[in-house]
Amino acid sequence: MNFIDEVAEKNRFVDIALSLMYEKYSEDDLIIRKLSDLLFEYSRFYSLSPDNISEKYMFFLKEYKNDVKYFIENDVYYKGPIDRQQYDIALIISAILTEHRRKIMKELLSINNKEKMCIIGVGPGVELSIISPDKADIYDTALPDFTRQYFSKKGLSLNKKEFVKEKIYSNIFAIELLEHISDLDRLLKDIRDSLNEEGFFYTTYAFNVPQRDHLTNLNEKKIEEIFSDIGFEIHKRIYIEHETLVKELKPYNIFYHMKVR
Amino acid sequence: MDKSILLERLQNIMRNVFNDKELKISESSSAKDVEEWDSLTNIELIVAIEKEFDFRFTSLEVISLKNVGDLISKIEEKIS
Repeated sequence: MNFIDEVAEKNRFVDIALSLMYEKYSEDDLIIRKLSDLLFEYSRFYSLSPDNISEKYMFFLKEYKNDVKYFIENDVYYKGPIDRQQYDIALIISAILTEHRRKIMKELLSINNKEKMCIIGVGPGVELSIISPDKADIYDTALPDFTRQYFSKKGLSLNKKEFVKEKIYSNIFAIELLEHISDLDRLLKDIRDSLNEEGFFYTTYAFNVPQRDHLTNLNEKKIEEIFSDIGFEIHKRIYIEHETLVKELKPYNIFYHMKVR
Repeated sequence: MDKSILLERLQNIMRNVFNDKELKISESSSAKDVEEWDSLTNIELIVAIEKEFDFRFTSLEVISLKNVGDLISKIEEKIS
């Protein structure tokens, strides 16, 4: 039994969403299992019961729906405070229960080269759990205490600070991060300068996804112009449509594989 | 229960779930006709129907429901 099943026992919404995922995949599915284990560790660290987890998740969803409505009415993302635990829990659970975030996880699982790795912006550790590197440098300006403690036990180097060029890497990941960054040029230049000749930069960008902590909502042309101006060359683009938002927004992510030109 | 009464009760549930007091549905209405009816609100709708009629759908039943007509048939089957 996965820990997410315990949450589902307390929450019919999660129960239905999870059973729909189990119909498509299986109870032994690697992504569900890894993220359910992460949710269990997170709940243990903060002494949260399945009931607490369920409440916080539903509260986040309720606020998110309001934020979507605000965006439709005002054409700008709502800005407001975020409850860190609610947010972390939603990040973990939605990667289990929604197809669009699952597709990002699936793409991460398919990347086999784990040499000289750096991961920027890890939140509660969703991507870290999926990538499961033996060795990596991690940077996050708002690194949660849970992530720092849990993943440092796994031998990773975790830094609660901004990423700046210090070393050279073969693989740099910034997944579900760029839309949270105000000074994209600065970050992207440091990433560019930190990649070796064969190095890959894996990143995503969310279009029309009105999360209150998303600072930018650039269109595809604009973000790709920025990548190009900095000196990146796109090797692969994976389009990931969202199913779980009001349809008129046409929200989607692109997962990019890039190298320095 | 009469189909028209079921349709009316379902319409009230959907108006609440989709937060649209003017919403009008027919048996042929489906997610593509209702802007707010996406995969997230679909689960909210299922939970609300279960509460209203006091039964539970199986996951295979949820997958098989394609429009309001399917929902009404399934509710009829479950409460009969």
